[in-house]
Amino acid sequence: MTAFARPFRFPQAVSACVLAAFVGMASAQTKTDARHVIGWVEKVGVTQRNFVLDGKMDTGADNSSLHALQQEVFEREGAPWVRFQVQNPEGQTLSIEQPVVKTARIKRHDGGMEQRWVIQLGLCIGRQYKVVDVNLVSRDRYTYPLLVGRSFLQRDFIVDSSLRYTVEPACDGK
Amino acid sequence: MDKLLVGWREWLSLPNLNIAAIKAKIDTGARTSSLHAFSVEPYLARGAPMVCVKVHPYQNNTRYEISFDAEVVDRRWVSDSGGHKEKRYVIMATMTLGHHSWGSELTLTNRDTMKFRMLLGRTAMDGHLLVDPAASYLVGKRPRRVKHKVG
Repeated sequence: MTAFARPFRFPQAVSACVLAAFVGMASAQTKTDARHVIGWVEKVGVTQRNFVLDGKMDTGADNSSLHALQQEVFEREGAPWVRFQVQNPEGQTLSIEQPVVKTARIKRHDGGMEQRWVIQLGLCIGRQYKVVDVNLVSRDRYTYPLLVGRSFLQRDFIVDSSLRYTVEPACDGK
Repeated sequence: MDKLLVGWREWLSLPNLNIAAIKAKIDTGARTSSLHAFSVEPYLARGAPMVCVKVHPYQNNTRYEISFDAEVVDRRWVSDSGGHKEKRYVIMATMTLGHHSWGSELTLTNRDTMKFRMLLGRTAMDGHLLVDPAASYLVGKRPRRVKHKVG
């Protein structure tokens, strides 16, 4: 690929940058432990029903988020619930109904706020099943329907960004 | 080569960009790495495209600033986590984390509103790092004092 496919104009000017001194940093340390090393994309089981989605392991996110279609909030025994569908790569859909535990307000780039419903959902990676807060996203364009954040990953997994699809979900009976 | 185990936040240095210490989010959800500058000025030096970049390396501190010049190696469309697309300058950076040092591309964005001034993405960590989502600052601590010259 050429560096400048579309030429752009640089103003002819001398940089006003001032050099600052450089100070080295603290020394390295390498640790090993028994936690499971997984890739940055893994097959993730959603709920107990063996419904498998491609999930992106996102160490930059506190919580997990799920692409949820046809979100519909309703009341059940006085509490707010949300009904939605998720779709796997084969085009099959799973309907889920869960109580809304809270709403997350996400700052958007146009300056507005986006409100997302947050539910509790069981996720399975390898043999590890955990119920975590998941916020529901209705993006049109997405590569991975599920982003798995630190609240799921922490204490059990280490992420290697040079790997993909290292484990199959196997949380039967949990 | 042994991979270095790091937390999801680390202090690293970018010696070829004069940055002795900057807190980076180690983000397996991002492909490219980005540096959040408050000023990115393109210019030509003997016909070569360059940028003069000014950074506030410490979040919540807009008094301490660092500037550097770097050769532009590419200009590229990059989508951020919100799906917002932006054409960014790409420069080469030497990433130094503890005793490990390696070169990688770094894109420049001048949104100064982000909590982290730097995101280290998958392309830059490939083959070098393992990320522990439960830990922070396993390798480097913020230096107590950073020497710098002004003027």
